[in-house]
Amino acid sequence: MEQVSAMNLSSSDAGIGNDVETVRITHASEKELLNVGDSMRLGMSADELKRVQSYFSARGREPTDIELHSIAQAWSEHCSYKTSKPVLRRFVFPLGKRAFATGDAGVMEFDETHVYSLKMESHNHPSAIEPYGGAGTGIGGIVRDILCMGTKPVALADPLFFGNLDTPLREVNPGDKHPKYLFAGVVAGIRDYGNRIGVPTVTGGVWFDQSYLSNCLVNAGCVGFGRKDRVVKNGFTKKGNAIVIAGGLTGKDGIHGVNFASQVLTAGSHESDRGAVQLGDPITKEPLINAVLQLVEEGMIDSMKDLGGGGLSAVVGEMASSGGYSAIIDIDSVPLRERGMRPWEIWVSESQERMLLSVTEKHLPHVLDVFDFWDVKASKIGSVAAGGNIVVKHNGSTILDLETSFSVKSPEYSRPMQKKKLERQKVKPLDLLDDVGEMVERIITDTNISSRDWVVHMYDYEVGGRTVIKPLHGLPGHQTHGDASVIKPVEGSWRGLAVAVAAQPWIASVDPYQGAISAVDELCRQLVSVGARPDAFTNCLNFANPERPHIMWEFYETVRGMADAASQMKLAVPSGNVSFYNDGEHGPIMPTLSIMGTGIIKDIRRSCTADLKRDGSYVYLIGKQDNRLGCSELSRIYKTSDIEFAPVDLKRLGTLSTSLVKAISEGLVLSCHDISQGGLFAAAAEMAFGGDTGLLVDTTELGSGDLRAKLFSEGPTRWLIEVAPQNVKKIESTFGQYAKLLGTTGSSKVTVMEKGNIEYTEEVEYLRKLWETPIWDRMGSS
Amino acid sequence: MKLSDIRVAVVRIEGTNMADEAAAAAAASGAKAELLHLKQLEGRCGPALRRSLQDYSMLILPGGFSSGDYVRAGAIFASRIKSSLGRDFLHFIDEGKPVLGICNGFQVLVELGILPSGGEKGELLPRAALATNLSTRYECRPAFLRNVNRGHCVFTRKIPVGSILSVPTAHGEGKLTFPPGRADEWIARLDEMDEMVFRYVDDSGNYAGYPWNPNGSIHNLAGITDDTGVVLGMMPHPERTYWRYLHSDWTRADLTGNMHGDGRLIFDSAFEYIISKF
Repeated sequence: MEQVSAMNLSSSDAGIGNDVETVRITHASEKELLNVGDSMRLGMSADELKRVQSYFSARGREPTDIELHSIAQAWSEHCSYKTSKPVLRRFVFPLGKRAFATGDAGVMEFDETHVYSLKMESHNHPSAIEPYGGAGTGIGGIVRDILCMGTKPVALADPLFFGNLDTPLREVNPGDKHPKYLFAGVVAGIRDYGNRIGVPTVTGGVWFDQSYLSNCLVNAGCVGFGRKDRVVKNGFTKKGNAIVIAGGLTGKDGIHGVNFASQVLTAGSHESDRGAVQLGDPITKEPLINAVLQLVEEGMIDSMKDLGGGGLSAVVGEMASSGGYSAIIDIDSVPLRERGMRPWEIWVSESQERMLLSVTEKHLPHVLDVFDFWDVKASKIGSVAAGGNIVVKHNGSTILDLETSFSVKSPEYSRPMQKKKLERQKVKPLDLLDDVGEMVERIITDTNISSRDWVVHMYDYEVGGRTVIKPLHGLPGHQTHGDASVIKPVEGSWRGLAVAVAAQPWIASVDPYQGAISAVDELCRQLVSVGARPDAFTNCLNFANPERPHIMWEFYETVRGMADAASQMKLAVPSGNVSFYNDGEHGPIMPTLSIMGTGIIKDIRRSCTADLKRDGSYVYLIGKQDNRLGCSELSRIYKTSDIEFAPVDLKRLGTLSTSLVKAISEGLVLSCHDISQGGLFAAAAEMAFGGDTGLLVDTTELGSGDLRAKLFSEGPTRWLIEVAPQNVKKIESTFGQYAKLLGTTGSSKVTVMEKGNIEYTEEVEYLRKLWETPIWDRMGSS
Repeated sequence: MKLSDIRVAVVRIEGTNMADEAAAAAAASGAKAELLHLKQLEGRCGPALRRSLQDYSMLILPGGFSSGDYVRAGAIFASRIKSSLGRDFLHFIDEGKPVLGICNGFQVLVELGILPSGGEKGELLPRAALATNLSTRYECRPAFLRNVNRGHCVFTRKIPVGSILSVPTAHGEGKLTFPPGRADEWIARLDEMDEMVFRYVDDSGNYAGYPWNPNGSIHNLAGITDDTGVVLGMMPHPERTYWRYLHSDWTRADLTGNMHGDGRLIFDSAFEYIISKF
């Protein structure tokens, strides 16, 4: 226990034992208040401390340590969203209306009787400090969010962001970890947790940029599946219900995790905050999932919530507050992993693999039996009562008594914003760059474009037997990147759910509003590629320190862009997550909206993959070519300083998406791949890799620009599709000016022609080797 | 026995996370599949939940990470079976009832000393190991298997000898390894006694190295049987290509007509055997 001596603490006068202390603050000066905050690591501002002070002054008593910790947890940025909420309330909350239910995860209708749930959460700071454990517990946490809606976790998706793998060691700041170490550790953490609990990692993404060098981003997404009549509420629903904690034991790990997540990482963080990283245990989690799902099926759980950031303190508070009840907790009934824990530590511990359930008293024996059958520890720790207070008892005495209307409702902030000024630099002209052949090789071997198979094979992407379109699809031994993965969740039904992730941080760092729209464009393209109608998405909003006005502006613009794109595309946004303070010694991260989206496929037998299917079919570009190169892979590799990018036309995205989904469902499209990083060339090459067959692309009709711009520009809302000769007319009449015939499939080469001349031709197998090896070369077989 | 009367026990402990799809596969073939926690067979649960091994005609030890596999994969599950079911388990096999160990289940059968047998019967002690993959990596990837069993194993009755199945793998410890200096002897013995079942081949049907042999397993062995022919242990997952639309390249052909995938034949073979024998 920290010394709080500056404030004349007494530990005996309240008669509540020597492990609970009364903290005298009602007569303290601002300076003294701040001293208390610092020594107890409350992470509260002076204004917040004063607010607490007046609450207790008005009640004529001093708070206990557990009360102060409880309020501090609830008011942390991580738990309260105090900075982001006003912005989210304005733009995003209305987008949850179409949801079947909202709560710890968003729940969407799948068919007449079924729902799916979705949620994504960041685990950035823990992963930057302890990549293996941080990433693993990121998965653990998101899986619990899905579970506590009464839905079974059926798919994971992980967008990851690191510094460049080739960063020289001397450029890594003291205390920071090298991107290779972080990448290897994070992937291993996801692998060992996800694979062990038996939830397939069906998709994801890896982005490399120096802005993530000292603050990597690890976003963990999960999709759940369940029945409409079994969806569970998160808030308390009935007076007299038993409150049960189930799963892992409570220990001292992860104390103050939420405060640590709500601060900027420093060199010292790497040592001092290690204790704030929780320990994951997938083999406690797996039976916990089984037990909870059995109880959900039996209708035994009235409401439930998982223990994550802020531990019991946050969960009991939120369940009581959102349900409109009181909760009376006996802290001595919480099963502990270690001796000598003080009540406040038990109350805020973020030990993993724990769920809090509210069950009718008469069902309690059965509920405890079911947990016992699965060898999962479960204990009643309190009950629900009428009112609006949280009461915690210890040795029979009340050591915490707070009104949730005060303790759970943190103050909100409208932080000042300022538009970021961009200095436009002179753009390096294409004439000074490599010719097409050299450029192809540099671009497809860049780690932002090259094959992800080093990562993908380490994840079990098909456990559960539902993954019908896998992250790598095509001829075995030649599989290529897909756009979205598809699961078939219901036995006896052909309806499928597509899952994809997207992020456009480079566009966002120029224009966060357009960056967000571009991310939604990318997401829709990917879902449409496999034949899915985009339905919903969830998000992680990853930003630097919002107390700086231009970061707050980036956040605001991103949320506004995301909301505009979602409402135009009629996409629901039933859940989301905000992660601030992603600054490190190396500076702030790019504004990074990562999204995980879902789409519905009426009949999975019609779903489409990116691998070219046969020789002699036609290749069309769907969409409108725009040869601007700003924010493209080409502009980064060659450092051209070009920031003129093509903005998204959301109307066109909507129309083309609808038409393409229809064409795919009618069987008119043999293969389909969206055009994203690396442009038209990268997309064409990836299609060739998967089918182990070549293709010819004639760029003559793609405008008047330089060939390299035509091949590597990354303008939005474009797809490449393969069409059998007999369906060419139908495709042309459906898409009109937005279908451009580029060439045909066949041969063993990728060939580019312009105005009758062969400008580039190379063996598929040669290109494939180049594309396949960059990450393996850097990471080895670790 | 009728197909619909066949009761299949799919046995799990904590971390056995692929029981559902194994049971679903058995059920889709027409048998009655039941998910059982090992403690139900051991009697360590309420009376209503207790089950007896002898009431079942087939047993599946499914894939997963039993008890986390933090020690040698399958070791803890095997030692629990040994200490509680031991003799009942051997009796089940002696009665000619099929046992299928998939992935972690295969690891359990090797730890139990049931596979490989090669004529060495009896003490429940391991005679081989499923060691860490040569690549040192856990990997999930498609694989091709050649059926090399000449008729001894009941799980390949419906699969022509020499034919190739597409059945994917997902493991970190799958390299079948024999005691140093005795590998050749073991291979010869398995061959002689027809205890080899599946061998990894490449996309042209040739024996090849990584990644087609995903783990560096000796003699490209992916699955083996015992001297009774009723036990099959295999690293690849037949339940993962039970349906055509679970194959990693199914979108390359029209998905009409027969939806059955390659893995289904392994389940159906066992059921055909049970129907004819019992």
